[in-house]
Amino acid sequence: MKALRLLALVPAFFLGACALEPLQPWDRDLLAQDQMQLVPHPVNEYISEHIYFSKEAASGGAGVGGGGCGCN
Amino acid sequence: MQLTAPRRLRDSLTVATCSLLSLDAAHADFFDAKSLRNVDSAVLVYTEQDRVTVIEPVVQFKKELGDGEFLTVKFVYDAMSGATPNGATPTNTVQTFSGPSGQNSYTTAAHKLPLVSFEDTRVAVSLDWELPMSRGLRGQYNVNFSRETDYTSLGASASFLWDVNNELTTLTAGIAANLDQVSPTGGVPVGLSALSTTVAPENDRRVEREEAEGSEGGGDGGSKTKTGYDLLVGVTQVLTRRTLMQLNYSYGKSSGYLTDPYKIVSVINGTTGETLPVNSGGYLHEKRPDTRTRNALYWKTVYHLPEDVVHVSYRYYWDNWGIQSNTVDLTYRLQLGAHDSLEPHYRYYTQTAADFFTNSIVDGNTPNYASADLRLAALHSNTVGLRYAHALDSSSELGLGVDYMHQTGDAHPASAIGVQKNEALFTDLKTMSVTADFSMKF
Repeated sequence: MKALRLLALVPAFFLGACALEPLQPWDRDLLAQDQMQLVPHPVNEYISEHIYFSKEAASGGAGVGGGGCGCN
Repeated sequence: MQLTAPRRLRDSLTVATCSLLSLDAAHADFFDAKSLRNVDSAVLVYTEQDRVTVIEPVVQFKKELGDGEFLTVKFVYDAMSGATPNGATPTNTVQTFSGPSGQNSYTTAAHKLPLVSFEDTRVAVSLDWELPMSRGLRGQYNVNFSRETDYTSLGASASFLWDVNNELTTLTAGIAANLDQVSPTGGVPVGLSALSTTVAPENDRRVEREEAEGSEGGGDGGSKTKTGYDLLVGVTQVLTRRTLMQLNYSYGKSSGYLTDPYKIVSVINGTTGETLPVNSGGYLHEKRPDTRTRNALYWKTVYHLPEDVVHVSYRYYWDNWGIQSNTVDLTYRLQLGAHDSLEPHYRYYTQTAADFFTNSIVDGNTPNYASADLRLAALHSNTVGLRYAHALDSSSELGLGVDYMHQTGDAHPASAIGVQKNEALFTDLKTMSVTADFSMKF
C-alpha cells in the first residue's frame, strides 16, 4: 500500500509541475548550461554504456538506438 | 539644473546602449557557437585484471545545417585483445579445450578459471539527423553500422520529441530496429552439442559444423542472424529553474541467434562434481532461447546547486529470461573556479540470474537451454570514478577520467556438487577504464 502511494506520487509530481509558473527565458540560464543537459558528455556516456553493455545482462532505458556489438 | 538633467539622461542612455550592446554580443556569441560545429572526442584505455584490454578512440562531429537542424557523425574504433572466460568451471584437474578455430587447443591449470585468448577489432559509424518538424516537435533519426571479424550490426532509429506546457515538458517517443549477423570463427556450433575433441584444419571443421547445423534445419553456411526492435516513451520535465527530471519506459524484443557461439558449459559427474573427460562429452556448447523481451523503467534527475550540479539516475530492468536488475548512478560535478571541475561518480548495479544460467550440467540431465556465461549469473558491481575537466577557453574543454569497477557474484552456490565446493565458481571481475576526452565548439 505504501509502495502504491509512493508510485502515485510520480504522476502527481509531473502534473503538479504543470501548475508551475512558466519559466521566463531569463530563468533558463542554468538549464541552458552544458552540465545541466541530461547527457552532458555524449562520447563519454557512449563509452561507459558500451562497457556496461559488454559486462552485464541488463541494458537500455535512457534512449533507443545506438548500435550493437558481439560482446554480449 | 538644465545641465544636470541632460547629463543624467546621457548617462542613462550610455548605460542602456552599453547594456544592449553587451546583450547583443552575448546573444551573437551564443548563436555563433551554436551555429558552427562541435567536435567531441575521447580515447578509452580499458583493462581487466588478467583478462581483456581494449583501446577505443571515439570522435563525434556535429554540424548545424539550418535553424535547429543538426547532423552528427560518430566514428568508433575498438582494438580488443586478451582472454575471456569460456564458460567452463574451474575443477581439480588440468583441462584441455579445442580452440574456436579448431586448430589450436589450450589448457587451463587445476583450480583456475578457464580463459580463451582472442583478438579482434571493431569499427562503428553512426549518423544522427535532428530536424524540427513543426512548432515544438522535433525528429531525431539515426543509422548505425558496426563490423567485427565475426559480427556485423546494422541499426536505425527514430525519436520524436514534443515540447509542450510552455516548453517545461518534453514528451518523447522512439523506435529502433537492428539486424545483426554472427559469423563465428570455425562456424556456428550446434547448441548443447559436445565440444569437439579433434583438432581438424579449419576448413574441414567449418564444413562439419555446417552439416550439423543443416541437420538441425537452421544452418545458413556458418553465420546466423538476430533481429530486434526497441520502443520508448518518456517525459522530461523542468520542475524548477534548477531541476530537470526524466522518466522513460522502454520495451525491446530480440529474436534469432542470441547464443554466444564461443561459450561452453562443463558437464559434471552428479556425485563427485568432477568434470567429465572431454572425449566423454565433458563440455557442451551453450544454448540460449531464441527470443528475449526486455523492459526498463528509467528515472533521472539533474539538479543545479548554487555552483555544482548533481546527476542521479535509477533503472529497473526486467526481461523474460528471468533477469531483474537495479542500477543507481550518481555523478556530482564540483565546480572549481571558472575553468576547472571535478566529477566524482558512483554506480551500483545488481542483477538476478537468467533462468537457464547454470555453473555446469549434471551428466544425463541436459536441459533445453543452458549457459554458464557469468554475465548471466546473479551478480552485483560497484563502480567508482573521478573525472577532472579543464576549460581551455569558452569553447573547448579537456577531460581525464578514471573508473574502477568491481563485479562480484556467488563463488560457492548451494548447487555446487562434490569437488565443485572447493572451487570458486564465480571469479570477481575488476576493471579499470582511463578516458581522455576533448571537446570543442568552433
